Amino acid sequence: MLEGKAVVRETDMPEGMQSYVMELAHQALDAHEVSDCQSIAHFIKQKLDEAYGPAWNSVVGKDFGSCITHLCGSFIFFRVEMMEFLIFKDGKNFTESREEAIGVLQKARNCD
Amino acid sequence: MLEGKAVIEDTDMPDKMQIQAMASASEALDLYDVFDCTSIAAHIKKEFDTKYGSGWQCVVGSSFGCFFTHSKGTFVYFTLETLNFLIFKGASYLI
Repeated sequence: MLEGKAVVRETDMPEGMQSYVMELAHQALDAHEVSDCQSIAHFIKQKLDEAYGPAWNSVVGKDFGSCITHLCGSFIFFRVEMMEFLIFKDGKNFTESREEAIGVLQKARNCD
Repeated sequence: MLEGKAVIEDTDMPDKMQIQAMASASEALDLYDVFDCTSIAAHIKKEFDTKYGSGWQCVVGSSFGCFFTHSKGTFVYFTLETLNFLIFKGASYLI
């Protein structure tokens, strides 16, 4: 069990949804190897699609940057231990969507 | 100019769009430092939003996994130099 606390970097989600997403992240980290980012991402996306309807997108990893368009109220970027989590849902029309550029900024890259 | 060649790992995009994706990536790597994944991703996403309509998503990095739903014919995952690039249009944007 990873004892790490989730640290929200950026979000526009309601509090309740935030808590649920972070709980899913902890569940995923318990169920999968920390190196298996894809299974962790899969787990989270699947649960959110079931709970809040499709189509959620999930990015998990230690080193990435991204630029996305998401439905307002359905975006969160947070960290648990060494892992970064980007979770968002697509919007059906542009007036309800917002563009976000987020990433894990590092001064130097560890090449190990 | 980075001389590296892009390698397509997986895609369901038309060939021309694939070429555009790799060109945008090379362009971004000329403009930004290889560590600045966010700016690289932003550059590519904006290129695609401009050329192919809004709603594109772009993830760039050397260590990530993800799971997503995309519109048909709008997905490409490739490597260029030390980075991995994922570009797709979200499922909600029906063409």
